[in-house]
Amino acid sequence: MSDPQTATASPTRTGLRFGLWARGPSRWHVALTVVFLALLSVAPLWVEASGRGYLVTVLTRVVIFGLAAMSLDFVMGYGGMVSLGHATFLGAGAYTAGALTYHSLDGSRLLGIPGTDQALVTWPLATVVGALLGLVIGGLSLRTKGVYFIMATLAFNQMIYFLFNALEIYGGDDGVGLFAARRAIGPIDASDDMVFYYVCFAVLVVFTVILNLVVRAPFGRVVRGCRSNMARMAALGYQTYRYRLAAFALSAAITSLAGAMAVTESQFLSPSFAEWTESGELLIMVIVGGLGSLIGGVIGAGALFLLEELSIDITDNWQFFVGIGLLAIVLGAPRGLTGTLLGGRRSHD
Amino acid sequence: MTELSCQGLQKAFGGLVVTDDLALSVASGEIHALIGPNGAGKTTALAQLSGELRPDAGTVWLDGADITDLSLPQRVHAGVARSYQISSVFRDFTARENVELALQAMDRHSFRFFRPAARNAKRIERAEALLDQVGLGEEATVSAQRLSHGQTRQLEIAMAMASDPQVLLLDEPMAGMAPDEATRLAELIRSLAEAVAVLLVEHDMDVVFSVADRISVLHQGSLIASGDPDQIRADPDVHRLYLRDDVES
Repeated sequence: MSDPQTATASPTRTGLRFGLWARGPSRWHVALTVVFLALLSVAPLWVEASGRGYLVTVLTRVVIFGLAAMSLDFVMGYGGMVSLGHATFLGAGAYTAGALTYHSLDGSRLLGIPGTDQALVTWPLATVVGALLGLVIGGLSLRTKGVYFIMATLAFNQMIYFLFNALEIYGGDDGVGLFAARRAIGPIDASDDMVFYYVCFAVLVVFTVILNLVVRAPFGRVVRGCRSNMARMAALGYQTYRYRLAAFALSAAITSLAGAMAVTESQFLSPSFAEWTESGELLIMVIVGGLGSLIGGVIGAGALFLLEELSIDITDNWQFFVGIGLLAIVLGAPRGLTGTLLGGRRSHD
Repeated sequence: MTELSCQGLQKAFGGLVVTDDLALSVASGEIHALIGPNGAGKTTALAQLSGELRPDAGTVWLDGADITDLSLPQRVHAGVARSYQISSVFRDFTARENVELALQAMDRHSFRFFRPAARNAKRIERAEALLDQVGLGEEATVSAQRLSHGQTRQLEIAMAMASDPQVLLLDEPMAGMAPDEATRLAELIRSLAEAVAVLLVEHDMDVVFSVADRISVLHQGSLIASGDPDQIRADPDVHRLYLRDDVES
């Protein structure tokens, strides 16, 4: 380090990756993220102009479930924690927001507090509930490894699902409609589907930025290190459990927020949000979109809902065609759609 | 003067005793080599010193302080670092990012969520200095999976040195290296040992006898000899059990 040759070589090497648009290997990934979000920002205007305004709600679901899939990708693609229980948090968010809305319609109280359909209250509350539940479920599940972790998350998923099924007050397994509720987000009246879409889109943009910062930050590096070699991380001096748990709770919080958004969108609260097949569907979105890319979750959600929509038009047996489409993607693009688009370029610095 | 030592270490897996009443010490400025045939319990002994394995009985001290109850990450922070027999660098990261990650572990915590890790100029500079020190200065931005086997071993050492350890536990650092690479790495370890206590588990007897100040021979979990290279070479027990092929032929 003291020889003059390296002393002059250092600054150039160091300077290589400064600035968001510098020559870092992830610039293509950032570009893809920006392009896809730009597409989503004009998509509802385009479908409305082309006379298919009913598709706006489909796009809203792409945004909401894309947000959930993105947060699942954060723990799975970056943290190496394969969760088959993220519908737990989707359900927890839906029931937090849905229950508050239900009680506001009803005029009754929930554990002594009055209900509300104000999303500025229900959504943040759902996020907090998701984080706490993530700490508990992650705290226990992360004591297991590999396939046992998957089973543990699935087991918690089933417990929560049957808990919601047993809540007679909210219609048990039938669920309950909340159609009379307002879609109020602060002063914004989002009863209009187009307005509601852009509210959800704004939330997606915010969390896309946050998660992209997090995976590049010191915290994200530790989480990524734990994915490739946990024993080595401990040998470097990291208390790996804490970091993985924090990552899991962050993901749970965002998924729970998506659940709250989803119930506000559908205005119908039912245990199906927490059904384990929903966990599977989020997994499919992440894998189709491309593991470890964040935006891949949203792209995967788009692909899945698009496939659904296209096949419903053609036939009643649409699930068959969704299956064929998924097979085509998995066989033709084994690294997911983003992996194919980026040609294996790194998605982070 | 730093010293890592243990006394009465005992470890059994079921009925198999892998460490039997082991006492060792290594002081700064010294390379202490631990040798023995396959299955003698060298790696297990190292794992108990590093904190990966809990001994069934016995005590480990660092500078007179009992560190037996400290976990692996805690011992790293106390000043005991280790490298691995099977290279376990982070393949998705570049050489420099590997060292940066090792340096970052010395921060009080890594719950920093927003500022890009790639913009910590001070840490990057320190990482490059460490890479230069182990002879990887030119490979800083090369992805770890593209490094040669020998370079990966060098990277391992740079990562172990990142915690600025007082004691370095090296598990077969020369394994699978070409002779000239091994010689260079031996020189590197020699230079590190000026400030650090090095405990070296190694199979390459040429390296061990040329580089070590002290050698201890492990057989079936217990020490059968300990001394300087000349004493070990002359020890009849060691010959019978272990060195026969290497030295007599």
